[in-house]
Amino acid sequence: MKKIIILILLLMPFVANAYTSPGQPRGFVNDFAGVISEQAEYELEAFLKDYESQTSNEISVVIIKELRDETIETYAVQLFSEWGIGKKGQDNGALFLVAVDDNKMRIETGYGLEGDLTDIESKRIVSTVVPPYFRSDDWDEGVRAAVVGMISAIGGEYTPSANVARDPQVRDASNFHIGDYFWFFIFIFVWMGSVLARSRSWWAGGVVGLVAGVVVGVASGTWWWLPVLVVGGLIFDYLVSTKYKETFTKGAKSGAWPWLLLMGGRPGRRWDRGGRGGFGGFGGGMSGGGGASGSW
Amino acid sequence: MPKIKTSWIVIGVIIIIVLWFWGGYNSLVSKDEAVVSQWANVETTYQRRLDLIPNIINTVKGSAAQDEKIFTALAEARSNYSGAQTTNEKALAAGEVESTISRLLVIVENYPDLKSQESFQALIAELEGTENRISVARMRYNEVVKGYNILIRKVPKNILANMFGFDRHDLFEAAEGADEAPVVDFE
Repeated sequence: MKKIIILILLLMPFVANAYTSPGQPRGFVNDFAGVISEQAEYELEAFLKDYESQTSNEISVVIIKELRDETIETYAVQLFSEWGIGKKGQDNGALFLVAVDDNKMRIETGYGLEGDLTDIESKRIVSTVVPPYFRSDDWDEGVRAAVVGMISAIGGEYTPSANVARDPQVRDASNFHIGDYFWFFIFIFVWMGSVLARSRSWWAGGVVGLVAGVVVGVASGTWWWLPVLVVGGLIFDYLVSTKYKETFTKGAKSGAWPWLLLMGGRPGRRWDRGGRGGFGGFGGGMSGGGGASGSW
Repeated sequence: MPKIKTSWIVIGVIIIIVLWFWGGYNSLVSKDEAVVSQWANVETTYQRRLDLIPNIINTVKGSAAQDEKIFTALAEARSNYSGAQTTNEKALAAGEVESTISRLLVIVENYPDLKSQESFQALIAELEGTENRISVARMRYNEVVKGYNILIRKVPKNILANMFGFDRHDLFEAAEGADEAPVVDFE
């Protein structure tokens, strides 16, 4: 019993300090606390979208209700890397984070913008420009002032990058849906099953698994698939070899379906993430703790 | 006929083992390198703090000249860091720099006119940003090291790790963490 209590006490700080994501970004402006007016949100969103298309810099405004037990610095850097604000490789993103109930705000600057939006400039914005507005609960003007301050520090030039050339590829890759290939996989699967079942060997499935594992390994650089696929292939061959006759000769096609359960182990990372609405998401930029925090 | 089958199996097993060694070893190497490169990021942020020291001294010295000792301590801490060779020495020297800066900032409390100077405000913003970068770099370093340490201890990679001498990397301890970054008092 004592041990359990100690264990719980040990685990508590982790639970308390765990960063909880506010969710997926809905646009450049994300008011999770619901303090700025619809009008201002709409205008800012259009403005930042326009700014992004001209300069490729991604500036995001995020307003949350409370930080819970997280510091605003940690929250900002975690959210920044979760959403990937800024273009990948360029890291030309910036985040203006406001925690309403904590009276805290922070500008977190992506690596690529640290030279223009310096810590000193960020500090000036969060300690002298914005607080008067926030103190009088004028959220619209405060956020607007922060955005204007950030943009005038960064400037309006286009951040040259390879993202024009790379973006289509990135988008294509992330738009890969298992659904598009689902029937293809099923076909391969059933076809292989029938071939393996008819062959008298019990090891052919292992060889197929080995070949598949080498292909996957070379393609992805992760080799742990290899033994899994070999063993899976052997089991698969064994299963189909013993089940083939009763499944296909008796015409009971539904017997084929349990095999599909074997497919459950494939990595389903982001294939299920489909339409995210009008906002295409951020570009995958990184920050390293640059910027400044302030309160009001 | 059975003979052929057995030899095929043996060949297959050998191929599997070789490929597993190959892939496993390579993945250990890349994780190990990730730790090294993340440590380089930590050092970059330390260097950034060191580069601020002359700036700190210049800004503060005019107003707080009578506290001569702290400036010598600061210069000493800085040269200690420059002389540090191993990772552990560097971490230790960086801790010394950190505590000296926080001592200086406590002393600065006695000079209200200094605190209101614009150059000092800018310096504090710069220092805060640097401390935060350090804490982020350390946090990421700890994450990478944690992943690596788990990997080399878990079955089956622990076999490879033992064979090829992949040792544990040290984590930053909480006492050294960003929670006690000296600049927080200067909001």
